[in-house]
Amino acid sequence: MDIIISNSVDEPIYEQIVKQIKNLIINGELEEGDALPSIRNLAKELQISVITTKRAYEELERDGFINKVAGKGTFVAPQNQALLKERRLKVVEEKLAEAVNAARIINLSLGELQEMLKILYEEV
Amino acid sequence: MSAILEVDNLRKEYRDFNLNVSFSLERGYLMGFIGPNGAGKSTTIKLIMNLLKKDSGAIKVFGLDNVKNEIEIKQRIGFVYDQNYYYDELTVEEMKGIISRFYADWDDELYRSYLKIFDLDPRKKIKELSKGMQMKFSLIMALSHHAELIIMDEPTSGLDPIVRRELLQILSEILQNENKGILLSTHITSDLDKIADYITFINQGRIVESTTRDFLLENYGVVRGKKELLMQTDKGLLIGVKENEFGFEALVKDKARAREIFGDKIIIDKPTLEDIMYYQIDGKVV
Amino acid sequence: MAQLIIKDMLLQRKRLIYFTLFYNVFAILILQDFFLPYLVAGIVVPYIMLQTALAYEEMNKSEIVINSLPVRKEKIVLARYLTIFIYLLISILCYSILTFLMNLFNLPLAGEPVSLAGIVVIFVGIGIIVSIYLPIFFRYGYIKGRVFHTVFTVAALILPTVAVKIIGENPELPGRFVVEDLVGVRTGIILLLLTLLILTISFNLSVWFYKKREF
Repeated sequence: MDIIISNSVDEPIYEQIVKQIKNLIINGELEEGDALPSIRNLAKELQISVITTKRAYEELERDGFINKVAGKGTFVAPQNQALLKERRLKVVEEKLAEAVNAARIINLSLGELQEMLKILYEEV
Repeated sequence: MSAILEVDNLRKEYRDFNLNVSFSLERGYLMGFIGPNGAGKSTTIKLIMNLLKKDSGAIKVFGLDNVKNEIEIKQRIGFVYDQNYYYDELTVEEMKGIISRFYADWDDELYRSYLKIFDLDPRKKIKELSKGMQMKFSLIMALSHHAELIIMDEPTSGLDPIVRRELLQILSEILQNENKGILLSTHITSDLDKIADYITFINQGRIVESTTRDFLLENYGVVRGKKELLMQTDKGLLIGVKENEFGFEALVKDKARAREIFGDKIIIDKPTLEDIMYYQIDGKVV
Repeated sequence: MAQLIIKDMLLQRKRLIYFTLFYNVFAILILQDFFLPYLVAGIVVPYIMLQTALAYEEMNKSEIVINSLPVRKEKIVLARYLTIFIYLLISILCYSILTFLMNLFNLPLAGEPVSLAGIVVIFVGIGIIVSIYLPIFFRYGYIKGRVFHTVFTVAALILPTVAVKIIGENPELPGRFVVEDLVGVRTGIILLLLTLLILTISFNLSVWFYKKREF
């Protein structure tokens, strides 16, 4: 599980963590039931305050992404599958929109774009 | 659970300096105690350790009065001071032999494991150790009896950056245990940038600020802009204003407000703890 | 508390041996015409040992550590009082061995072995000196306590001169017998008890002062 934070951006660190963990869950890299590092362990590894990690986890818990189990730790909560699917669809949609825009710039036709998509789909 | 350390209206008067402070620390956190030289950091710590007598106020450690229950409290405190006050003629092992017998919970195995981690030869005389190793020795003495509260008074002064980082790593490890608390006083604020949960800023014997480091970093900012903007500001917004040939710079406690007032005409940077200390010490508020 | 005494011994172990040996030999060789040799062994040596111990503590500023440890002030003070009597024991022992050896080998400059009366005098002497000095030390610290040290040293230098003068004017009081005459068994016991009393008062005073001390 990779979490990379930056000190120099404006965004508060706890928000960066919240975003990244949300993305990991949406992308499927973190699945239901997976264990998350303890707030103290995370703080130590990232060299930040435990208050920051605590805050991040609290927000994630509030939004239903993770669950704290007393005595055992923190785990990825069972996700609302429909919601999750919808979020994932959105990601695909966003990326396709990017591709479309990029294609338009070099005047690629829809047909050529679809051809590309077919090839890639079969390759990957 | 009560706070691990509570200082309430603690007062100490000297001829040309007086101290009046209140703050508290919960278990599981590290509090950075910052301030310029002579601000009262060492005085406060000595008062907690009962090395100085308070004039009035209350100091509670583990919920107990620090004078009435002095011995019981000291059993559970590990201390590291700014200089080596141990007997430098003795070897590490000899010194440990003396110190360890005062602590009921001394853990010799723990002590030996720390010796290994720090690569400290117990047969060496204390005076033969480098300054960094002497501090590590102090730290080992403080940690080897399962102390719950670790009090450190400028432990990193005179140490090179590498040793300082090592120390912070170790403190990080200690805090994995959420029952412990650490009070670390320093004027080298960069040490705290990576590890402090709470910051208490003291200046001229008074607490200027005592809050989470996150709060400070999210709300404070260093503002830079043209000098003419100084006319437009809200009173009390800009702290420690410094003007130079080309503009001004100042600290703001509420950077959202500053952004509101000045819009795009100023640059707001994230402050370091040193900035927060620096601009408030001079005190020119506009 | 035993730790504090051991600590002192550890710190001074080299000095203890050399000093004690040196001063005792010196005393025996130079001062042997009077009862002074074992007075030096019994009073001067322990006192010097105490001074050097305190000087070292001062130099190290180790009182800060000692008072940060979980140990009662009473014990710290008690350890100081006891250490002096241990120095006393060591010194007398050293002296006795030396005199014994000298007598054994019939060395011409053999010193006087310590008598019971001598022990009483020594105990009283040290007791009084310590009872005055230690409360001053615990109240004011080592540096200011040096004032007393100077006074005592001066006195220690003057007294023998005075003693010599008195004995010179009263030849029928040869020095070595004065002690025995002065101290009969009953007087001896009374003196010892008195000294103990003074020491106890001094101890309590020292504790009271030390509890108020700031570091």
